[in-house]
Amino acid sequence: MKNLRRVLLAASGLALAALAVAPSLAQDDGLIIVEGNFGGDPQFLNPILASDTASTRITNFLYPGFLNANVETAVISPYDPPFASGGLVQDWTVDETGTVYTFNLRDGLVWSDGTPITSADIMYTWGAIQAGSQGIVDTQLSYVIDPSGESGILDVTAPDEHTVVVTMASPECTSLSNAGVLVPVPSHVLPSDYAELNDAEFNLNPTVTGGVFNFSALTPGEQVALVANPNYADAPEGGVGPAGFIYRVVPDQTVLFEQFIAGETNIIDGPAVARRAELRELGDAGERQVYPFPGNAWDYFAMNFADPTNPQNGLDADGNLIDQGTHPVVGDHAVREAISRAMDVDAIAAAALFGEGSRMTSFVIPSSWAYASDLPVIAFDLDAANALLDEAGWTDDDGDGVREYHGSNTDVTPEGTPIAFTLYTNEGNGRRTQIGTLIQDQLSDAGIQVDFQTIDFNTLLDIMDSQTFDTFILGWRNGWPDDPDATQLFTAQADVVGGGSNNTSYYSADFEALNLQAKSVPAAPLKIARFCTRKCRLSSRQTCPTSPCSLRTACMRLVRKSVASVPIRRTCIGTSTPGLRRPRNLH
Amino acid sequence: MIKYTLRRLLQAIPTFIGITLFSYILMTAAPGGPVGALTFSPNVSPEQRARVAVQLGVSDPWPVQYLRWLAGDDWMRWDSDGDGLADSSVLIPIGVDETGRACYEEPCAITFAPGTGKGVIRGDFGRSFFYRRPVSDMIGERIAATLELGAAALLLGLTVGVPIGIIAAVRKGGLFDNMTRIMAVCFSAIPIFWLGLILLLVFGARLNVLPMGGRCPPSLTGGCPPIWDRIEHLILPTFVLATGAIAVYSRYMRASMLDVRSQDYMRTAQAKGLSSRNVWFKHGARNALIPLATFLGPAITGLLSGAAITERIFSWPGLGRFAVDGVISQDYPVVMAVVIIGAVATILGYILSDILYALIDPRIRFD
Amino acid sequence: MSTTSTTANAVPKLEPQGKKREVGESLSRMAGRRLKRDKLTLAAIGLLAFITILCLLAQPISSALNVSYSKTNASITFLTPSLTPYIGADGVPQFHILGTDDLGRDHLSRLLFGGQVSLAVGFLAAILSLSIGVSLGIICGYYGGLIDDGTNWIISTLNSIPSLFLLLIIAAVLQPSPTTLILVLGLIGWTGTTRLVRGETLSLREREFVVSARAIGASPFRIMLSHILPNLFSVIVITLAIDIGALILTEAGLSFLGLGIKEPFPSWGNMLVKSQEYFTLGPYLVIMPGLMIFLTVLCLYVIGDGIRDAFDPTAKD
Repeated sequence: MKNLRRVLLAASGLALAALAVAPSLAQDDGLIIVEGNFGGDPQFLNPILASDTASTRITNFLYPGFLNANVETAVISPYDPPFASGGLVQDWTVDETGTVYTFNLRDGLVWSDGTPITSADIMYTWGAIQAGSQGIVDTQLSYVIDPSGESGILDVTAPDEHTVVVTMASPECTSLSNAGVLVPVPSHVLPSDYAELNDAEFNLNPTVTGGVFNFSALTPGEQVALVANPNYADAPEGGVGPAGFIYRVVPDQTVLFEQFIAGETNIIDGPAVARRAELRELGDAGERQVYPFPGNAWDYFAMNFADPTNPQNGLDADGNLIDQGTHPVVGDHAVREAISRAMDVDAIAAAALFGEGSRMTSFVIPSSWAYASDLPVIAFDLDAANALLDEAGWTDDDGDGVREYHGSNTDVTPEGTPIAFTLYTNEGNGRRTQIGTLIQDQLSDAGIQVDFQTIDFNTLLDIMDSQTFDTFILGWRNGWPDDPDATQLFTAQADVVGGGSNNTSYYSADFEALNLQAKSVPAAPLKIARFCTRKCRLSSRQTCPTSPCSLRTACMRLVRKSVASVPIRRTCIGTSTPGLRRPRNLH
Repeated sequence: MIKYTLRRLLQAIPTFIGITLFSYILMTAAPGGPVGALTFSPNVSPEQRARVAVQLGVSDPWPVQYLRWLAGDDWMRWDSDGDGLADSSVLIPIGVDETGRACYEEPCAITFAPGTGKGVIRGDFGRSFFYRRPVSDMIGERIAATLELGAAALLLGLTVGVPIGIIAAVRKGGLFDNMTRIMAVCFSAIPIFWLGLILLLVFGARLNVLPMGGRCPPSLTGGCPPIWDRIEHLILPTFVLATGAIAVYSRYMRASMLDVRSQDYMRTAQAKGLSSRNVWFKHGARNALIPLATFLGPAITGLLSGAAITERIFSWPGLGRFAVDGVISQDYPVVMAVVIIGAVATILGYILSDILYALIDPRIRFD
Repeated sequence: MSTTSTTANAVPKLEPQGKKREVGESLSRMAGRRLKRDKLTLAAIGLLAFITILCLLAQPISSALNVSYSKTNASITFLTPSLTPYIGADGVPQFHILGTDDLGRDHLSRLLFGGQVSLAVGFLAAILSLSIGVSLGIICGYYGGLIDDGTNWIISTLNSIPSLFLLLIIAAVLQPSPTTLILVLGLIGWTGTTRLVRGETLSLREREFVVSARAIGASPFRIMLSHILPNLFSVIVITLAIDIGALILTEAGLSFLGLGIKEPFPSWGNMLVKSQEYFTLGPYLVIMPGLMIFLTVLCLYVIGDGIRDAFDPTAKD
């Protein structure tokens, strides 16, 4: 899913500022947030180059965003404090073609060295994104430029210091999301030659920033320290509450959790599902504050529609569909449906997610504005699964507990082929290992033999990209606010051997048409976009692009309990820190 | 002795080539490769992914990759017309075509900058695939932490292990002897990560007397106070890393002391009427230490291996953890650099062992 | 040391075998006598045998208790150890005497099957590395020359890479199934044994019984097999015991780093690593695999020590 990282940053900036109103904080100006970092050292503290979790965690605090997102409705909106703030844009207009967006920038925002933040700082990012598509800058933001020129951003100009004009290739629902990547960077301290940007000293020592926090120090392998930005404009009470933020590398998850319990860190974000009951108890006992909020991560079970022995792209060079063959087992519609029915998703959610997740009705996450909770789910029904398989010619004649194919479609599935396939997931993810183990066991009840293997992440990605797999379990974490565009996941153009994200070779003409229609609404008024995405999703649901076994994990953020409890908004972003206690061992 | 050391260093060259070649072949043979994880986002196009592979050089055959790592790429891809872009090359491409595949001759869709790598023989360890920084810088940031922990563990292993061994030998069959033997066996029968975690939970969480990991206390200004101000951070990881060494040293010291006990000079010393303390420690222990010197080389590899696990449990910012992360993300330059450092440390350790041996035991002469 | 006498019979009678047999047998008889008195070592042998037999009987035990190491049941996760059976949907009682794990699988059954894997990895990898180490060591020690130099170079190269790094790199190449792990651990663990055996062989080569065997024209192969190998018996047993213990620990360490036996295959190592999360939910899930590793490795180390002491010719009784 597209990462609206820039917008995310704006919103998180708001939430942090909002917490400064907490009365308990105003008195304790020495308070410092200490959080354990499971992800290792950040790669880059420059938002143009950052793509790993640890880096984006820090850059979200260090830089203002371009657009604002409303923390209550989770949609991109004009500057509207305190609901939508932290971004550089005041408001915008769209021309009658729905392709030219004129953004008016807020006045008076400054970098930490006092230099005003202007459109030049946006233009620098745009230049870097263009250089990225030439292979000069190692940025992952260049996706907003479509080499064919049919979609995405065509051009960005700055008529004056306070105006940025973004020209889109076509009217699309995703226009605002794409524009969100234009995060301002302090162009006056960055190299003017983009060839030097990859190695700029600034990347790990960002001396000039403009977010909630300013950079203090990076100790490799150990921690990143940030200090409050005294001039942060969007702090409602005039100042940022916590005096600092320390992000400590803790490579072992058990240790990370125990450090929080022991009080060495005072915030834990999304703790392991197995231990949340413990934390809730502490919350009930008044020793910690627990903030549940909707999650944006989901796991899915993917099945390869095409022949895995001869992987082909979805489209040829002229854009015509290529015959990709059919997977001998899971290519059969009856098998896929039987798998869906034989999986007890609720049992999986109870055991593997410790009840901390729920079943999704489609690939749209429940916290998204496009989510339709009224969609029916395929219920667990072992008898129906067995009946489906019997009817399709998959029967167990030799009594070994595994069905074999005795149907008529022997071109695709030779007579006697056992209903057996390999299921991969990445090693080291306990939750997915549990899900896979449960699926393996549940499907064996329907006479389906699953060879479940946990393999190294890089190897799994390689197998996925080469499209030689049968099935796998992986997950996505959506950006915020959610952009439900599934072009990269389920269209034929994204079905590219060696790299596309539609590696299951899913294809549905209905889906393609509806997806296109949903994306290309002139001027992208939110209501229409919402309507068409919903319709598109409803349609795709009929043919199961992924199994409806998709699960989401509820996020949960915990902080130590103290005197005051401030109600926070129901949002996934609120780094709310009221009542933080000074961590142990802090000098 | 200098001659001897030089000869040993020269002998290490083929070993060194063997190590690097062996490691490189193995590493590139591993399935997966670094590119998938580096570009794991639906936003990254297949062309971009292919280009990253060519840029990193991982799409070249392994002999080319090895040569490039060994001797650099500044002579493999260069700019002859001075426009800042490469136009000539041997063995490696100068850019990529529209689909992101390697392009060896102009015009290419994207042309790379000329090579700047000098290769490991000219002291350039290359750049990390993941962090895109010079590996030597990253090693520099972490080596102090590893040396600190390793030296502390070695010191603890010797200062605890050797006396235990001596006392156990003096009081052979006594309570102390049996107790320490049982303790040594017990400690070495516990998985090291498990021991670390338990100690962390007991001393860090329950008793709340020691910090739960990290080398330095968290600080808003960064940096690390001098070592004597953060001894408490060193205690648990040092102990966990040293348990193996304590067990080994105490056992070898005990055996060595028992060997020495029956030597003539001990009997002579006793006959001369020296106090038993004098006999044991002045004559016995000194000679019993000799075989221990040969342990230095293996001890260093042992510490480096142990460090990989200990550093992870105790969030210690050292090379062991760096190496494990490098292997898992298939960051070839990082893995190679750590393998080399480990090998150099070990080879030096073995040479040092031999020299120490000669210094302690005057009967040995270098030839 | 029965191998000594049987193979020695195949040697022509004229050679002065008597002395060697006498030395060998008296040493082994002495060792046997010492072992019989060494209660600690005997207890360790007994306990190790007990654990091994239990693990080998994993299938019958699981069937008898009507449980399985792979059958999941979301409604009975983290069942505490108890002798009271759980009555399943089919009405047949299931005895989860050591409780169930996070997916409702029987814990005892997983421990036993995991034990099979861990013990197999330890035993087979140790035997593999020992076979390589002993044969290379004998050949190098006996012939010397180019073979010796070449082997020494390989050994010093392998020894110069910290073993865990080497393991990590190789484990990344071969996706660790029990088989590949055995191969990997066996193929890199032989250097120490080779050095040891080479040294022993060097001294044995000059002993009278070998010299005389050579004098009467026995082939090098026969000398190595029937004269040198039997005299390495104690070295081999000690190395084996220590190696198996160390390998079981190595497997656990690799599991911790994510490069050991992979789920859903159980091994003591990965069970221990996985259960860290379940300290509060099911402490027995943490304690049992840890205890099994600890006891097994302890037994092996004690046995190794005991045999070393028993065969020590300089030790007094």
